[in-house]
Amino acid sequence: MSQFGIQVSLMVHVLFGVLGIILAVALLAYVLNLTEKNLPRIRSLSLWTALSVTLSYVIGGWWYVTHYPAERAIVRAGQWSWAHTFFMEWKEHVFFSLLFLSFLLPVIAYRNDLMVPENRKLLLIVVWLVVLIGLAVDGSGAIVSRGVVVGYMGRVAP
Amino acid sequence: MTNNTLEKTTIGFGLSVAVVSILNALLLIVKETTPTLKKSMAAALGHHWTTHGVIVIGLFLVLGFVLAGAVKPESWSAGKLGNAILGSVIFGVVAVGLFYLLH
Repeated sequence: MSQFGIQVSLMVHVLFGVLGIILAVALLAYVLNLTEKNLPRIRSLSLWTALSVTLSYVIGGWWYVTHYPAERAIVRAGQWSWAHTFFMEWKEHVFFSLLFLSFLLPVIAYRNDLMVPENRKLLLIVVWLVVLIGLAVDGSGAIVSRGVVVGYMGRVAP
Repeated sequence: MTNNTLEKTTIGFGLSVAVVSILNALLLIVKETTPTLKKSMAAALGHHWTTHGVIVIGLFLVLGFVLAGAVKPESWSAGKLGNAILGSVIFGVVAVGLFYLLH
C-alpha cells in the first residue's frame, strides 16, 4: 500500500472513532429526554454507534498490526516513549471493552422496554461508558500521534 | 403496559461484557508477564494482539449466547446488571492502566 493509503486508512480509523463518540453523545441526549416518539431514533442511533465503533476497531486493528511497528520504533526512540509504553498499550487493550459495550447498546435498545426507568438507566450507564472510554481512547491516539512527531523532532534537531 | 423484566439476550450479553472486561485485563497481565505465552500468541495469528482479540471476542460471543440461554430473567434486574457492568468495566480499564503504569 502507498504511504498515502496508509495515512488515509489511519485517518478513516480516527474518523469512525470520533463519529462513534458523536453518535453516542446524540444517543445520550435522546435517552436523557426519553419519550415514546424518540424510541425509533434511540434504536437507530444505538445501531449506528455500534457500527461506527466496529469499523474503527477493524480498520485501526489492521493498521496497528500492519503499519504501526514502523511508527512504534520512532516513538520508542524519542523523548515521548511513554506515548507507546503507556497510552498505546492501554488504548489497544481497553478498546475491547469499548467494542463490547457498543455491541450491547442495540441489544438493550431493541429488545427491552425503555420506558421502564430501570431499563433506561441501564442504557444510560452503557452509553456513558461508551462516551467516556471513547474520549479517553481518542485522546490516547492523539498522544501517540504527537509521540511520533516528538520522535522525528529528536532526529532532526536533537 | 410496561415490561419490567429484562430480556434474556440483554442479560446474557450484559454479563458477558462484565466478565470479559475483567478477563481481558487478566489475559493482558498474564501475557505481558509470561514471555513464552506472548510469543506463542504472536506465533498463532501473526501478532499477539490479534490472538488476544480473537480470544476475548470469541469469549464474549460464546459467553453471551450461553448465559442468555442459562440465565433466569427474574434473578437479574436492570439495576443489578448495570452495577455489574459499571464495576467490572471500570475495574478492567483501571487494571490495564495500573499495569502499564507500574510495569
